Amino acid sequence: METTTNTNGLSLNPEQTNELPLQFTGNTREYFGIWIVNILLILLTVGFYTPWAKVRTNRYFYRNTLLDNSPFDYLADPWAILKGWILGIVIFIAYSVSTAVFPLLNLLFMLLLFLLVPVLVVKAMAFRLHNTSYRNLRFSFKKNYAAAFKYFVVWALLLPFTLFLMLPSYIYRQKKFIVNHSRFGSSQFEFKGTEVKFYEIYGIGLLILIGGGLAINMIAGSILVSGDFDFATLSGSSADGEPLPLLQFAMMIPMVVGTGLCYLFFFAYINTLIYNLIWNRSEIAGHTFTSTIKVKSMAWLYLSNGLAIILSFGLLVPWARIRMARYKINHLSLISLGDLGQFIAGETRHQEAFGDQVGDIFDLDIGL
Amino acid sequence: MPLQATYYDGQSAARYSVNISIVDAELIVITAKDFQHQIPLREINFPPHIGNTLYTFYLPQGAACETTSYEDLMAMLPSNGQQQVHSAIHRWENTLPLVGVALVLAVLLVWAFMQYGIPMLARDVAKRIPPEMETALAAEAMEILDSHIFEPSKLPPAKQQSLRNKFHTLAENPGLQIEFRHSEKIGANAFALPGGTMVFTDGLVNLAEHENEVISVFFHELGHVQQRHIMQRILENSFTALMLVLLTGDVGSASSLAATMPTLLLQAQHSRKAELEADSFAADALKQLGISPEHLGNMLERLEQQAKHGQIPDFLSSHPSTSQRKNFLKDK
Repeated sequence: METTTNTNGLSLNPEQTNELPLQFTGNTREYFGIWIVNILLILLTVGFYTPWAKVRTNRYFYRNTLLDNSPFDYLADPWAILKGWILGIVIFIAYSVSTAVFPLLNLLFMLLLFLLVPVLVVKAMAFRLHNTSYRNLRFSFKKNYAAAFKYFVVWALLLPFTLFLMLPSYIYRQKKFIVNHSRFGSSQFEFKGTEVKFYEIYGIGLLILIGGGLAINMIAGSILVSGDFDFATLSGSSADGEPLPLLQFAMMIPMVVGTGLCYLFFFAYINTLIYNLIWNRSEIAGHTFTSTIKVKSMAWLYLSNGLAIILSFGLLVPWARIRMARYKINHLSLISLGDLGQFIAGETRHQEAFGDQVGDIFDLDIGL
Repeated sequence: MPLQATYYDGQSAARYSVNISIVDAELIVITAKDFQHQIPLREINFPPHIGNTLYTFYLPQGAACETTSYEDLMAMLPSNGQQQVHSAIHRWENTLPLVGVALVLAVLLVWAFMQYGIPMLARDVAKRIPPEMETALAAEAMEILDSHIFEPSKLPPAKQQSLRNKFHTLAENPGLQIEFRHSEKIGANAFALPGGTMVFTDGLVNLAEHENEVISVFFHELGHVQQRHIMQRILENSFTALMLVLLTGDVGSASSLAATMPTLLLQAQHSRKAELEADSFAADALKQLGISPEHLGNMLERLEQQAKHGQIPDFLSSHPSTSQRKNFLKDK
């Protein structure tokens, strides 16, 4: 049995890889209670309970995620989040009022937000990771605003000029940036995936979308032709404004639904494959990961969760969240090359919650 | 009796099996195979318990201790006010009947706030908005409408001026500004902007069979202006959006969508109420001038027949049904 020492100084035994699956132990019954009490307290405190609610929710999900029988943890202080949250609300009110009076300000706000994205992303990642721990060692995010500006702003500006053909490159760089700047203790994560893989995923995804779209149009077209319908009456109201006959309207529904499902599948395909790619090609201190989520399952989850939430006026949100977390977490494993206890602490510095909260309020999608 | 736990020193990810005991109700003693720590209780951070997860408490210098039984640990510690609040919340979350109560209360609160709270707040704030801000908003809106939807009126200038003079004598509102516009797409319509700007389309003026009918529409729109409905609606929308953000902030866009549906229904309801209020205002004003409110009813009916869209079910519509309004006006 030969041991090697990798670049982080950890002793590894290549022959003794150990698959450590992650485990999600949360359930809907518990989480529903937490979720509804959160909402009640938020209402009773006119919103001020929100930071505590958020911390509680994250602690529930993190602490119910186990790796090698130890839970993850979320350590954020609600008071720290409160400051960022109040700032976010003030900005939101200023935005709402000023754009109601001067609708053109909307453009200015959006532009400002766009330029600030690198700051928000870096700060939000730093806050989130610094407040995440495993076995009492914190994660962290190395802040690099210049790189963030390059990948999130400059590259985004390039996209329209290349007709979005460079989107896979753009996404590749962003994901790589986030992974490579993330740390656990003093060890760095590293993304080893290739740019080509991203093109593959988006390329095939696009073919699926186009193929599906064509299929639907052909089916709809053949039904129309066989049924002797008139395109003019189908595409809008007739000259004297009569409402569409019920039957023709009914014909449009399957087409709309079909197209919707196509987009859903495309979305699920891209997300699933990219998520798997990132986990499967990332490593830390020689340990690697395996993610085995499937496109069909994810598509079904998105669809059923979405429908359940809408039909239940939001009451099934806890069920949907637990379901999604359980599926994704239970299909993730760490392939460890040695004792996990060997990770050591890194430098920890207090992080402000500003980026995290403003990102939340403007519903920015940050992270993996 | 010592409690078994797992100790993490915060310097590495190593796990240590330890026993915990309390001494003199103020010291916690953590004993492992190779070490022992004694730490005063008041230096330890005991966070709220969550769900049925393993419970972790945090020691000074970045160490932590994790136990499988929160209850056993709490039994060992002297009682503490903060802990009781945490336990109360935890109990509420975990007891099914209490969760049910929380659910009902939450739904009631949201409904009550959207039905009464937000409109009241909006009405209050609308009253405090300075007229200059309202006129600025109206000017902006007019510019946008003129560049995208409206063309200059095709009514003879004499007719426009005569109507304008008539309206100005009927109402003493300093912000009153009467505009006439032409639009094929919109047809016959009239609306008011915050601050007193009113727009009448050529279609509406031509649709009227009697001057009193145009006057009745004028009073209806004046009702909206006096009650500051328009600004109120804008504010209501913003407050509702803000509330939704607060409630669904960490849950994502699907739930925001679900939450907007009841809001739309409620907003439609408020809007219908505003229309009836404006009708009522118009009816009173018309009666004072010796004009029958039925003129408004007739105009509304004719407008409905001219409308290009089909029937929308009552509860979804932002306007009360025309028959409902006609009956209301006839009774006045």
